[in-house]
Amino acid sequence: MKIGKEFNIFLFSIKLLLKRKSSYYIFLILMVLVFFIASASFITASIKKELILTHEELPDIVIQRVIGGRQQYIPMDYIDKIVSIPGIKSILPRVWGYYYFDYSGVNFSIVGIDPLEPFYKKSLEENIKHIKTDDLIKRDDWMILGNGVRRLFSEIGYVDYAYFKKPNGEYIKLRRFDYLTQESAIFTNDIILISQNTARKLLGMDDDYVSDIVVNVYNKNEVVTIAAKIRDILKDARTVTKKDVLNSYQNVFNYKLGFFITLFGVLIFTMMVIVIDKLGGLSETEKLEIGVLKATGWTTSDVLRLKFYESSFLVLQAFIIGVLLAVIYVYILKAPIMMNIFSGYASLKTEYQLIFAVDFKTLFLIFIAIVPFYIAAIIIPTYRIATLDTYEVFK
Amino acid sequence: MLIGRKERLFLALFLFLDILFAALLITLHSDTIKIDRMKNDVKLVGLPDTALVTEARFVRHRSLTDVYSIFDFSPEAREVFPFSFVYDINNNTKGQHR
Repeated sequence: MKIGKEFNIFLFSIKLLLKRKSSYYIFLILMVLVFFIASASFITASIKKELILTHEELPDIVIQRVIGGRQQYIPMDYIDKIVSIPGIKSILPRVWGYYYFDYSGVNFSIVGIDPLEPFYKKSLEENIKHIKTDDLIKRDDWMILGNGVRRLFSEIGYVDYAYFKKPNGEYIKLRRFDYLTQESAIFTNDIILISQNTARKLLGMDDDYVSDIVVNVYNKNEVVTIAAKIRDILKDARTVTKKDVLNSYQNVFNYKLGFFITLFGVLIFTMMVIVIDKLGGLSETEKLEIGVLKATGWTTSDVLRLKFYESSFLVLQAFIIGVLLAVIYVYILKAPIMMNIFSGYASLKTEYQLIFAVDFKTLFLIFIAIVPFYIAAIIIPTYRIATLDTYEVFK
Repeated sequence: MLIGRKERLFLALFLFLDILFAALLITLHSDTIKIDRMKNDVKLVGLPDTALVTEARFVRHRSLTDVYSIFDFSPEAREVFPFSFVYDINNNTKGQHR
């Protein structure tokens, strides 16, 4: 039977593979290379997917006030000036800034929210289960912690309360009310949500000033026009639209791509070494194998098929196992060491949740760079030897 | 029989790993709850960029700052490895409307 014969050739090729030491080494090298490149591409694809998907939730336009190249707080009456622009759906003043926690040497992002504001009330109730926004309205000394801040605070003993230093040196005591989910840690790791009044105190901001103003519009096609109108009215304002944010994200991906290209260079170099080594001629044992097969009556095409099965099994399995290990490493073990490359030196300790994303383009590129080259590097010298006279081979 | 015990074990192992690979891909692919939680939190906070690098504002909320924000902290352009060499001044499209 035809299929039976092919299968037998395949089984025989496995037998030969197992017998040869060099096949183990080649398998290991290819697998490790694929593993590294695939893990890097999984991490970048994950971060990219998270950024792109969550970017839809950001406000349409952020208005900042820039004087002398420096960002300043915006007076509240700027809102009255732009409120008459047609097409604007909502305008929300925001109070946020940074707090340097010198005990641990980390920066927190402090975001002041107003539980009376319908937008904040609604998203608080959506995000945090069993939250009672009424409790938040009654008092001012609450805080909702991001996952990284929560862990840092519990390490240093700030279990229920934490103290923050105001710009004038006084301390205020805040009570931990709740915390944000660990799932969003990649975005909210360093976030502390506090009431807007407390945030103003911590950031040294007057009551009639805000950090920036966000504007949402009805028609997404009008964003650029409305941003232009806002800049026309507020002469010292700078607008950052959702599109600008996306462009900025793109810069990050370019860098991550550079990291990937470095790894890819290693892969190409290794493949070149393997191919050149193979094209220089097969090893003595391999030559002998082919000679014996030919002597025992195998045709040239049978030998070629045998070598094809052998090499494609080796290289395909190396590819699949490499990618499998990368999937386990990145999504199950959470990329223990490699993730440090992507995070900064002073970052809060975190357990990032990477969502599953496959960059098929990259995987395909690795596949193309490895599989056909390796198979060709085996088949071509085999053909050269198999077409020789058997006597020549043994000589 | 052409196939020995060693080869049979070997083939079975690789078949198992391949099936495991396919199964992992399928199970991980159907996991969409996390991204919804992320989206909700980003909506609540309203700030862009990842918290991977939190050193200063020009790297933490990179999309909301401009190249001059670097000088808010110090008159020199401070290096924040490896994040700061990501950003190319010429490539920065923000502020071009101004």
